[in-house]
Amino acid sequence: MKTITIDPITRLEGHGKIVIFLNDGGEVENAYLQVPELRGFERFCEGRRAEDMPILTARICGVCPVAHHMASTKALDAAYGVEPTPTAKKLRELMYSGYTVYDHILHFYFLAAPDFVVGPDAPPAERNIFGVLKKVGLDVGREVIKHRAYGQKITEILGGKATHPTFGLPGGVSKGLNEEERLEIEEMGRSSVEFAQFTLDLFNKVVLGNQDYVDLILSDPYQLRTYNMGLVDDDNRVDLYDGDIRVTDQGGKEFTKFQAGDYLDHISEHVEPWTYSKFTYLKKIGWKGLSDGPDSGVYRVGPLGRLNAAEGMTTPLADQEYQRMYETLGGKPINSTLAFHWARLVELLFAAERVVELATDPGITDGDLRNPVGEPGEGVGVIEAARGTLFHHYKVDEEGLLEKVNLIVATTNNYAPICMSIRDAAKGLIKGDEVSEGLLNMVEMGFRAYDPCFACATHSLPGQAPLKVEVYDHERRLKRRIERNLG
Amino acid sequence: MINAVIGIGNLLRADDGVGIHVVQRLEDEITGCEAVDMATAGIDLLGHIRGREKVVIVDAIITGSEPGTIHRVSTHEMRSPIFAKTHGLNLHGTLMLGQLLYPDEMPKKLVILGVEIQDITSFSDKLTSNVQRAIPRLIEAIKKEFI
Repeated sequence: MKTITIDPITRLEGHGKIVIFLNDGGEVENAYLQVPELRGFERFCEGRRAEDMPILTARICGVCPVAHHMASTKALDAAYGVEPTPTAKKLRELMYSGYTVYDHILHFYFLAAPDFVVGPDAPPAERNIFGVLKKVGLDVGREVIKHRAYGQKITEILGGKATHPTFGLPGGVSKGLNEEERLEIEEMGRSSVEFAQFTLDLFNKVVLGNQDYVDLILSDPYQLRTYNMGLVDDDNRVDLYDGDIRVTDQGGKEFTKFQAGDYLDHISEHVEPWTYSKFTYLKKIGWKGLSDGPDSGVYRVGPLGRLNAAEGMTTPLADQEYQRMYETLGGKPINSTLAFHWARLVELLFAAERVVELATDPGITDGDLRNPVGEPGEGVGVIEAARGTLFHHYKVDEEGLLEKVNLIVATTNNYAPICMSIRDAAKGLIKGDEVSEGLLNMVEMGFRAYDPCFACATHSLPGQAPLKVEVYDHERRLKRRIERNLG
Repeated sequence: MINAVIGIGNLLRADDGVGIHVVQRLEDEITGCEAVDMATAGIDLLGHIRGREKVVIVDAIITGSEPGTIHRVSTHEMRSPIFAKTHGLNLHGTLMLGQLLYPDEMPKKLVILGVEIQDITSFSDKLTSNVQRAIPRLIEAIKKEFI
């Protein structure tokens, strides 16, 4: 068997690389993204005080600290048997919406736009934010930074710190909102709604206005007919902060709906020897390997998974975009991996609208911030991180110390489909020893759509990050290497 | 505040957190300068350096020298690739973006102090001994930048 290795991130970030296995005929058989192990982190947490977890887990990485903070806070609500107060719930969702705004903005302009605005065939040296700014202008660049900062500012106002908030407590939050802060957040929210609309217009013009891109989105290598998963409210509409977990099938019909605490009845984990990460799958369907269709328990989370698993958005502008997306791409569910980018922008608009809705809620400045907690026990918290469903599960002893910690992060939920998308993108681009120059682009586009997060990544300089393809013959001799910096 | 010392790193990954450890110490020890814990955030660094006069960034570094060695790197010496992170830009790319978008607001003096590290793979909130011993020297080096 021949092996191709693509190493997309720095060696400092651990085991994150792509390995492509070829069969004896030299064709792609399977592909795997090797992601870092989180088990070490879970062990690191055990024995610590449960109440420290919202701050500790937010330190895992700088990409989704608010998602971990909130999932952890909700797990503590459940473990201490307490419902947060109505105002605390609203404030948590307000902070969370701000986080979604800044996370989705970063992904679109820094990671998605290089492929579409600059072009998938452009030289790698131009397929980056600088290439994007050359096309759209520096003023847009300043708007990107400004609105990214707004999202952070909202976190900071409520949580003290933008990157690592100290906000969520079991049963509530640590701080309320005064009128001056409320007004500031409302204004930032309104500006973010406008910027989200601008970004959707840009997507319309650049991507949907170009038939080649539409064909690429709808092309075979980027289709996966998996189940879809996401949090929904009582009316089955997208909810990023709370609700039940809904799973829909390949026809768009509800397969199951469950509460966070029951996740182990619905999700199982499959282990492979060559990677630290586990593959999650729907327990009732079963693990059938890296395959799609109704008989395989593989499901997708994240923006497209969420929109497919729901029946609409609760905010008016985002709901219009939601309907338009499904009308344009041929109805529900959408199976195209590249449609994650569009779904992400629908959510950007939704989150910005929620900021305004919550900031103008008459009760948002009320003082009921925390309910008294009960006795410690076991609890599960679930939240929709920007990149997908995130579970925190804690067992707390009577002294308030953690006995057991289990995290299922978004990238783990999407692990099987990410591997399948890489495999499908690579197929047709590798024939025997011949590796097409387009391979790196197609593979990068395949996994980047999911916005995978190598959650426990470190950050040390110099942080070189070549994207590496290595082709080995059947005796494991290196035949060819293609290398470039990750754009 | 017109001057800032900014720590970058992952506090839970052993020596990778050296920049955060030192900034947390400095909060009580340094005057005339804001101590900022940036964690591992990337482009959001721009919000903390724009409009400042002097900025010192403390980060972990791997060059192959003795753990605990302090490297002083000025921005024009940075030659690392721009796109070293899965989310956004690395430090070099972030500073380039700042220069492009806000040329008039970038600090007049910007110095990076890189501390040679040993362990970045363990989940630990403690530094290894060689890196821990470098902290007093690092604090002196930071203070010297603001004289």
